[in-house]
Amino acid sequence: MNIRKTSLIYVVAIAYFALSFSLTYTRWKSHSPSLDYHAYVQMYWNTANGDTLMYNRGSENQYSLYKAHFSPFLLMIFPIYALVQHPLTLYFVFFAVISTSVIPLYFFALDKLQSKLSAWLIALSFLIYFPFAFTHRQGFAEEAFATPLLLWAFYLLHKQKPWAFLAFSFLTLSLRINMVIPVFMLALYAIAKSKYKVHGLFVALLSLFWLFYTLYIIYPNFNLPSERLYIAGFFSDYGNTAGEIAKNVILHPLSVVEKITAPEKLNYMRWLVGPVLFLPVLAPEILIIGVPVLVLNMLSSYPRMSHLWTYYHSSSLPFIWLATVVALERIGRIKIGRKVIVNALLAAIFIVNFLIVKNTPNGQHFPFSNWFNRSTHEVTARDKAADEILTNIPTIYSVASNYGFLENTAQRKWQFPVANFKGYLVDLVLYDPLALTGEALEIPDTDKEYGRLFTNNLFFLFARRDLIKKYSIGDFITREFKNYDQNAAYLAASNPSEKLPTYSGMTTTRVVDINNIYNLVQKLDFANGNPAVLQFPVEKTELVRRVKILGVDFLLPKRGTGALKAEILEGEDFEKNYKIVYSKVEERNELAHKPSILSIDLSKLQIDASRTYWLKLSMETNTSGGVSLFNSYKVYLTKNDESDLRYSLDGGKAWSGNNYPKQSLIYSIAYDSVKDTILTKGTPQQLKQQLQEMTKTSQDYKDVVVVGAVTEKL
Amino acid sequence: MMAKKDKIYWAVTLAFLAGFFYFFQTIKPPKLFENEAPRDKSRDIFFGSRLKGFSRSPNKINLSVDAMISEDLLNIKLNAQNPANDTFDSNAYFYRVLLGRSYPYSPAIILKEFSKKLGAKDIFELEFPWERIYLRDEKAELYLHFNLYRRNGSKEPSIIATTTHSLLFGQ
Repeated sequence: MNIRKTSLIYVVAIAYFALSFSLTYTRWKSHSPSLDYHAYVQMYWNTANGDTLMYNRGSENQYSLYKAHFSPFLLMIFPIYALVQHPLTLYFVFFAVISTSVIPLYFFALDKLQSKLSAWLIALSFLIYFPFAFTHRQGFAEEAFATPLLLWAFYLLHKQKPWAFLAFSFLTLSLRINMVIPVFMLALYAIAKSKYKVHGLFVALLSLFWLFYTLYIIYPNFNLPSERLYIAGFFSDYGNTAGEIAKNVILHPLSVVEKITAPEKLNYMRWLVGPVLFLPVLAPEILIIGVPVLVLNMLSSYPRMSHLWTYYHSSSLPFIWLATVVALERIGRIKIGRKVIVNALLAAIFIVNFLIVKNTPNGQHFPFSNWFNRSTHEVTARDKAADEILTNIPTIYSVASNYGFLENTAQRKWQFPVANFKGYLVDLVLYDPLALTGEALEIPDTDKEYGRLFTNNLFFLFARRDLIKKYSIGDFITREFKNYDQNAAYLAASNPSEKLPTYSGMTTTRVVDINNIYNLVQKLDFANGNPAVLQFPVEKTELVRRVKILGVDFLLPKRGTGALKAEILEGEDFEKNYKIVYSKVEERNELAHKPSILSIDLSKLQIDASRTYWLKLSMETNTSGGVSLFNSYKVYLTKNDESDLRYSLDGGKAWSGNNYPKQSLIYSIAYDSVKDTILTKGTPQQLKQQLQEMTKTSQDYKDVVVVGAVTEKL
Repeated sequence: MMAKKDKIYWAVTLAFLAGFFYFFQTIKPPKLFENEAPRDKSRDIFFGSRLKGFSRSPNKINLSVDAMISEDLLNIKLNAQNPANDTFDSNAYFYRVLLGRSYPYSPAIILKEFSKKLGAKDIFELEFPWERIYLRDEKAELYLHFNLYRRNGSKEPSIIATTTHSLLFGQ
């Protein structure tokens, strides 16, 4: 291989790796969840701590991954995590391997089409082919490694390297049990179409043995005879055991045909092969290698298996694209204008894929797309505040948190989603009332088992009451620190005030608009005297115009005018008899497409908590240039029977309390001090030193709450 | 005729695969308790009725726990016997009494944590009340676990013996 001539494809692969990893890094920093990645991080952390591939699956028991999936590949790449025990290490390896997919595809196209331009068009089209992007950009799953591993296996067979073909076939088998199917099919192809029939036969037998070994040796080691196999759950419409499922599929062929020809299943196939102009049907001997897994996906009782916004099709993609190349080679055999026809088809494939990701929701992972999901990549000050909390929780504590934070809390034995918090007696609960995805939120009962440790940026941190001990900082420094295990790390919280911040409510009930038409006024409830800081969340929304062309939604961004104005009014009647004590127009650039916290320093406003104050949110508009398109903002409401919230539907001319009865704007108020609660972690000696430093620089902090059990010496 | 290089490759491949398949069939789920039997089929389903008499302390140390529920208090009785010649030093080992909704190793309310030396053939009993501050009105079946742990430096301590007693609150 001539490096000088071919090195650019390696550069493209590296660039794809850099782009994918950096986007995932910002996604992680912005606490946007990515499927089950948190569970894999927990498995790796447990493996590094002696419990191989164990995780607690959001439950109160520990499970081995091999109970569900026999994936020895995860242990083969584990040494890299053992060297760098960071939550993103696994993603780093994942993208490094996935990004190589384009290399064998490029060289295969170069061999077959004998044109660099054609090979480049294939490679670049593949990189913007959205079913490929979703296999690894939506989240992590070991099955997604199948795309590069099978592309390499096929290409190395084509290059007459049978041992390398065998090695990559073995690696593919080691991903998950369903990889037996494409590897077996590829082996049949090797027997029929290559001169390495013995190697093909060996791989075919190996895949059959793999199936037997997984079903009859591995799974019984990790499952009870009475338990239904995890993978059988994907086909529960047909039975509970592998035999029952196979029998029902064979005996009911008509219902199988009916299922795989349902409109949504045909649509699944259309989106897979449509972007390559259905050309793979001209190379059926290659396409067929990837088809059985797709049929299995379509037959599944679990609808997500036949969705393209996941990874279940990752072992079929290589054969769709390899078949496209072979189909183009066959088209190129015609005598007149062969290169022009092939490259015109390839240009059409590139343009089709570009238009799909540019203009449809399938482009949400591509930064150049109109549908690029900015909110999942924006890192706000609130995200940094979340990291302050997350990095201060020692790994020894069990933690429940919203889905978005699980990837940050995964390096511990016990992690739970707050979505089904009820029933767990976890040590700490980090609760975000503004969490995405409409999680069915369960919050700890703070009158009973849990106590609130910390509130800031509308994050709430709770600890189980038996773990909470409050000391004066002086007492802790001089003697109490000695009662704790001197080798263990503890969490401590120091509050500048005896009063914890109060808040209007903890669960978002709805999100409402603030713009040139819709305005909001909220009466502020001061539960204590001496209010110091008011905080409330706001997010901005983008203006877009939708155009439907040939059944595809086109989304065109529009530029609007208008900035959010926040005011505090003093007086019983906010419409007539009031005084403006605070007014600020917020810079639109400072806000994000997800909740940003606006803070108002009340200590400077001479607030008298015995009087009435209102927070008014409206829009500062400038329409001097004529009719304009107006921006819009969103604020969060919560259930609150005592609240006085007024909403205007005509830009503040008339107000009503009936639009959102018994609702309140979500806000919190801190008292006495504008300083925040300080979280620290460390051994008792380290906590002592940190508290000593703190008291040297500030006299505001008097008490410390330490989380952790104390061992009595009897 | 097969080339010499191919013969070596086949031999290496077969040896590797034999080793691979042998190795993975030896892997079993990690033990959740140090004294657990290597293949304990009851473990995954002991939650529920089988948890009531659950105990994992063969040969090394025998723990027992009992409790009475009154209106405001839970009166707990502990007993630990060491039938062997090992010594459980109070710096390396400690005990925890937990009240939880499931397994002895799951997160639960810590009612008492203490350390006490237990020498060879030694025995101790301990009785203490726990004020039912936030379980006063609860109607539930909860599990009282009495566990012995060994400290692991800065890492999570290991459970080396446990016993469980079920309690019906508010019935």
